[in-house]
Amino acid sequence: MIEICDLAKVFLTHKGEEIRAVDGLSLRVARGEVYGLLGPNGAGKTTTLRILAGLMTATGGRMVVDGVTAIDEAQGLHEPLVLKSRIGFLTANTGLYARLTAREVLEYFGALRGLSGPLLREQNERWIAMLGMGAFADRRCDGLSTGQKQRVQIARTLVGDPPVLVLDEPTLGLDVLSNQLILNFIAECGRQGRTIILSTHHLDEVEEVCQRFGLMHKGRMLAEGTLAELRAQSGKERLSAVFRELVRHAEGDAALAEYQVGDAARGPSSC
Amino acid sequence: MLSLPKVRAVFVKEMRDALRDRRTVFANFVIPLLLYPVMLLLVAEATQIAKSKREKDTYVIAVEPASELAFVTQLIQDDETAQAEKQAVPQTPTVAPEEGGFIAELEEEVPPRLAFQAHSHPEAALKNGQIQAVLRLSPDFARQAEQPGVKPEVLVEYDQAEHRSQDAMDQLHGLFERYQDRLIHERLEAHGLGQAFLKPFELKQPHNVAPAQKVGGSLLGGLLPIWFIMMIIAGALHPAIDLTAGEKERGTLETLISAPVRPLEVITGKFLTVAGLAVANAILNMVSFGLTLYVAGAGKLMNVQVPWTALPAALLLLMPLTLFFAALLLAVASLAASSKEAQVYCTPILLIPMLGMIVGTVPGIGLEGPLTAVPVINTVLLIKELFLGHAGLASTCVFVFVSTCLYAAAAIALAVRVFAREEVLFQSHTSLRIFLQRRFLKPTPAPKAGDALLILSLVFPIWFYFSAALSHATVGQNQGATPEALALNLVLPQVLAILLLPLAVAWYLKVDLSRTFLWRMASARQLAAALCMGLSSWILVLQFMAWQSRIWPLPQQVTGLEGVMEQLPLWAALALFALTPALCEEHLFRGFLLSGLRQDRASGKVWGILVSGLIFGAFHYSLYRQPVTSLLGFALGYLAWEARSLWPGMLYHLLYNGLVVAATPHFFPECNLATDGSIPAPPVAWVAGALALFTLGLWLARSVKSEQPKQMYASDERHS
Repeated sequence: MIEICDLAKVFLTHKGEEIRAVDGLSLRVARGEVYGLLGPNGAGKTTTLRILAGLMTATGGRMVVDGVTAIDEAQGLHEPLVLKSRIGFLTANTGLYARLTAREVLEYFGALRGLSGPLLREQNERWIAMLGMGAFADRRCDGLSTGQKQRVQIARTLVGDPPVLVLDEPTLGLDVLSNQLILNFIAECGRQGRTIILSTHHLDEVEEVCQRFGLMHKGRMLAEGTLAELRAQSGKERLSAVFRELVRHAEGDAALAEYQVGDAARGPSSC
Repeated sequence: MLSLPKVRAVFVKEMRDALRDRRTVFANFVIPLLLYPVMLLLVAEATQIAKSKREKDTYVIAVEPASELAFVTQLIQDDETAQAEKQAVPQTPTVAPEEGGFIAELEEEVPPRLAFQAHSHPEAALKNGQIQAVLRLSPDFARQAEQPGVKPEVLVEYDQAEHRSQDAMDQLHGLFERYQDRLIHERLEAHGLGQAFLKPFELKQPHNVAPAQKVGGSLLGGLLPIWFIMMIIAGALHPAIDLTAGEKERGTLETLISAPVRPLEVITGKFLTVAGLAVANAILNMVSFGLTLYVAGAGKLMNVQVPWTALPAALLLLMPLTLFFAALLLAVASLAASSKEAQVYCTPILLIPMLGMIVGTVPGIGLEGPLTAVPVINTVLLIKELFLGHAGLASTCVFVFVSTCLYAAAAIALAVRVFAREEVLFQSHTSLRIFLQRRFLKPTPAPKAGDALLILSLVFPIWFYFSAALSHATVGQNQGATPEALALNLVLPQVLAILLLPLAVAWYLKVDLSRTFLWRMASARQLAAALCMGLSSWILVLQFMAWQSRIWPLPQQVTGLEGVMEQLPLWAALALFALTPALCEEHLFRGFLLSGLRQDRASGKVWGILVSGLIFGAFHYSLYRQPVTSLLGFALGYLAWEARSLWPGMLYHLLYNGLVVAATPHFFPECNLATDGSIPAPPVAWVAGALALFTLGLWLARSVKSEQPKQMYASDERHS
C-alpha cells in the first residue's frame, strides 16, 4: 500500500530561485493495485517516483509505504532506506553494468538487499525462468538486445521480492513483443499482490493494465480515478483523449496551445 | 551504521567490473610490469647504438692555413702513439671498474677519428655541417711553437648547437693541450728542471666520501617519490572516473542507489576499489622498478646503489597518500556529469606531484617546520631523507603517516558528502556552490561522521600553522618564552582553532548547536560523577605513568612545560592549562567529534568513545603521552555520552588539569621531574583511594539516566 499526502518538492536553481516540481500531491494506491501515474513531460512524475523510491528527499508532505511511515517532513522524518528496502524501482534512464552478466547483476542487487546463498540463487532462478532469460543469463549485458536488457532490469527490480514496484517508463524504446511481455508481467505482478505505480507517456497501452489512474500536470494531481470514472468525467473514450480534455478543462485552451502544430508547419492552406 | 556485507558487495562488483575493463588492466597491471624493463632495454640499446656510431664516426676538420696540414696530421699521429704507450703502462684506476658504470663506459670508448683537410670555404662548410670544426693556426706554427719566446696562436671554430662539432672541438683542445704539455716538459728537461718547477705541489682531484648508497639516495630520493605518486594517480584516475562520472553517464548510478544502500556504503566500496587498484599499481611499480634495477644491474650501470632498506618504509608512507588521492579523485570525479568532464576536473590533481617535485628539489629545503604538515610535500621530503639514510626519523615518519591519513580521511569525508547530494546524482551540471553556500544546506540535528572528519582536517592544519606563526611572532627563535607570550601562544590557538572554528563550522552546516555541543545542563549526580573522576584521575595517571616509565623510559623532551609553568602565578597557570583546554577541547572532541561519530545507539557508543578518545590522545602530539591521554579521552567520552551534556566533561577536564598543575608539584614533586627516565609511583594509599573514588564516579555516571536520551538519539539516527 502506498499513501502519499501533500507531497512537495522544491528545487533551488544555482541563482537560488525556487522551482516547484511537485506541489501538494496526494494519492493512495491499495495493495495489489496497479496505478498509472500519467502526465506530460515536466509534470513532476519522475520526481514523484524518485521521492517514492527514496532517491530524492521531499521538501514537504508525508509518505507511508507498506504500512511504514517513511517520510514525514513535518516531523523531520526521512527514511530513504525504509523506502528502498520495500520498493523495486525501474526507470527508462537506468542502465545495466555492461561488463557483468545478467546473472551477476541479479546477484549484486540481491547482495545489496541483504540476500545471499541458496535463497538468493533460488530467487534469481525464479525470475530468470519467469522472464525467459535462461538463454542469455550468463551473457554480458553489453551483448544483449534492448528488449533483453529491459527484462534483466525488470528482474533486477524484483530481486528481494519487494512488495511495491515503482516503474517509470518501463516500455520506452521496446518493440511490440517486448512491450507486451513487460506489460503482461506487470499485470501478473499486480495479481500476485504487489502494489505498483506505473508511469508512462503511452497512455493507451496501459488502459488494460492499470486499475486506476492519476493525471499529473504542473506538479499537481489533475484528476484521479478508474478509466470509467475518467471517461465519465471527460466524456472521451481513449485515455489520451481523456487526458487532453482534462488538461483543457482545468487550464483552458491556452494550456494545450503550446502543444499545437503551428500554421507554418501545416504547409500551404491549399494542400 | 555501515553495513560491511554491502560495502563488500560493492567492492567485489566494482573490482570484478574493473578487472574486466581492458583500459584499467592495461594502466594498472601491464604498464607497471613492462615500463621499467622496457625503459632499461631502450636506454641500453640507445646507448649501445650511440657508442657504436661514435666509434665509427669521423670528424672532418678544416686546417688554415693549408700549409700546416702536414704538421697537424703528424701531430695527431704522434699523439695517438703517445696515448697508446700511456695506456700500455698499468695504472691505478681512479674509479673502480665495478663502480665505473654508464658514464665511464662512454668515456672508455674509442673517440671518433679526426680527419684534417684543407678547405676553400671553411666557414660555410662549418655552418652547413659538412665539417665539424675549423682549426686556425698562426702562420708557420710548427716552427714558432718550438722556439721559446715566440707565442703562436691556435683557434678552434665550432658550432655549439651541433653535438658533433662540440665533440670535435673538445678533442682538438685536448690534442693541443697535450702538445703544449709535451713542449713544456721538453723545455724544463732541457734546463735541468723537473715538473715540480712549474707545479710546486700536486692538487689532487677532490675525494667524495659519500657512499654510493647516499649518492643513489640523493638521486633516487628526489625523483622516485614523485614518479610513484604520479603512477599512483595514473592508476587511480581511470577507475575513479569510471566508477563515478562513468556510472552517471551509463545510467547505472541511479540503478545502484535505488537499492537499499547508503551513500557511505557505496562510496566506501568504490573507494576501496580505486584505492586497491592504486595500491596495486604502486606496489607493482615499486617491485618492477626494484627488480629491474636488481636483476639488470642498472644500479651499477648508473653508478648508484639503490637504498633497498628504505623501499619498504617508502612504500608504507605512500599508502596513505594513495588513499588520499583515491578519495580526492573520487570526490572530484563525482561532481562531473560525464567522463570527459571528469577528466577536465581531475587534471589539476595531476599537477600536485609537480608541486612536490619543485619543493623537493630546491636546494636547502628539508623536512622541517610547517612543511611536515603539508600533504604530498612532507611525504616526498621524508622519503628523500630515508633514501639518504638519515637516522632518527621515526617520530617524523609517524607524524607524516598520521597527518596524511587524516588528510585521506578528510578526502573520503568530502567524497561521501559530494556523493550523498541528490543534485550531484541527478543534475547534469553541478555547481560547487551547493556545497559551499550556506543557503543550499539543509538544517540537521547533528553533524555526520564525514563532517567530524572534515572538522578535524580543518582544525589540525589551522591549529598547527597558527601556533607556529604565533610562536615565531611572539617568542622568536632565540629568545626565551615570556609568561605573556606563553599565555598568548597557548590560549589563542586553542580558542580560535579548537573552540571557535568547530562552532563556526557547526553554525555554517546548520546543525543544532545545542544538541551537537551538548549544552543542556547536567543533573547534580552527573556533576558529582565528574567531581569524583576529576579529583581521582591525576593520581591514577601518575601511577600509570610510573608503570609505563618502567617499560618505556621517559624521553627527555617530554619534560618540557614544568619549568615554564613555574614562571606563572598559580591562577594564570590554572587558566592556561586547566580552564582553556577544558572549555575548548571538550567542545571539539566531546562536542562536535563525538556527535558526528555517534551514528546509532547500538555500536555508535563504543565506536564514538574509542575513536574520539584516540584522536584526543593523538592531538596532544606526544607519542609517550598518547596512551594516557587516550585513556582520559575514553573516560571523558564515556561521561559525556552517559550525561548527554558537556558540562560534566568540562568539570572533569578542569579538575584533572588543575590538579596536575597545582597539586602534583606540591604533593609529589618527584613525580614531575624524572631525571633517569623513570617516574616514581605515588603512595599506594593514595592510589587505592583514587581508584575507589574513580569507580564511584563511573558508577554515578552510569546510573544516571538522561531525561530524553532515546528521542535524542533516535532523531539523530534518522538523519544519519
